Amino acid sequence: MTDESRDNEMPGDLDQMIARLPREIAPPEDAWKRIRAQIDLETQLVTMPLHHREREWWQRPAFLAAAALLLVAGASLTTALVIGRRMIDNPSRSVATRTAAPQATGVATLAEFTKVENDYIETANMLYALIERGQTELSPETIAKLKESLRVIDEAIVEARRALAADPGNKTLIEMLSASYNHKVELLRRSTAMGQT
Amino acid sequence: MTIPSAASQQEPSRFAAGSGQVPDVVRRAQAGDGSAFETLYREHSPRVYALCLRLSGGSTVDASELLQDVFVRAWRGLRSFRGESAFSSWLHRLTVNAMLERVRSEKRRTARVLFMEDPGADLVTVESQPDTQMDLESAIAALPEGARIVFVLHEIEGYQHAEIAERLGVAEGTVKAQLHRARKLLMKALNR
Repeated sequence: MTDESRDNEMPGDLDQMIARLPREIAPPEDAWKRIRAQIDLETQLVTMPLHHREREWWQRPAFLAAAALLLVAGASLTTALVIGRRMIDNPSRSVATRTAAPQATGVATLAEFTKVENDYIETANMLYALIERGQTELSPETIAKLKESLRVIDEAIVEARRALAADPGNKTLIEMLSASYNHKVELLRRSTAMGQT
Repeated sequence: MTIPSAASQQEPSRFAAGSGQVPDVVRRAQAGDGSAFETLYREHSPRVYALCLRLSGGSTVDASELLQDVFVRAWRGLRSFRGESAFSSWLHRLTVNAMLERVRSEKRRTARVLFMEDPGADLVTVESQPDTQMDLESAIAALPEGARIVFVLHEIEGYQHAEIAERLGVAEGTVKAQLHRARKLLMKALNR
């Protein structure tokens, strides 16, 4: 070891054990897929075609589609809440406690929201990983629909992010972005909870 | 996937000097070539993941999140890599920085003080297992967070006391105290 002043020398055999510890451990198979997805999302943010900028953010197809989806999915989730109360109330404890939607309440500036945004992304990624790993009992059809919904929400997030880049002080945009993330996490959380019962 | 041990490692990545030139595959990734970046991931992720796993106390979920965070940061910051150090060393720094940021952020969130003594944290016990290496991994994972991070960085990754103190923003004496505590707990856990 590198320090000379070791106040509590470890016995030789323990040093040897440490030296024998593996320096490489294979990461989970799906790790790259999730990294790639996040990189693609960021790349899309940077390289979105210029013509998107010509429309107001609220006129863009992705935003309108996401707004419509929010209404439909909101109604569906309300139904799910009523019908699937037992299932939703009894999700996997570890997932439920770790994945409560991050709180963006009272966030007034983009800088403040960016801090919360990381929580949203981490939570969404963790939930999505559970579904990708097949740790839920959701049917393939449900997963396909979920992915399509997530794709639309992600597009809305990208649109709102782009709009915010041009207008960082726009509180309505921050609220919209926050709502999109919140919806994404809630959709994933409830899907995961129902799929684990 | 082969798992070389620390002892068999030819060149500790942390101290690997750069050639002063940016390797071709890194250069291609810097230019936005996703497949080149995937090549870098395939080559370096086992090393990074091992570090993530140990720093995260053996939690595969936390280690996977940290791994993802590290490689997304790497992608964002690739252009800043100039070849002054080996690419593996650069990634290593990113990993440690990402972990420390998480610890600080978690500390803020929970108002828990990482480098204070936490009551009951000295009760590290390890289930008796026939594999002594697994015993050691489990015992390291069971260390209190502050002691574990200091132990992993010093004993496994070769950081010096002063360097760890600087990175963690604590006094060198605190680092030594945490190391002493970690060793004591490990010895107790391993019944040595």
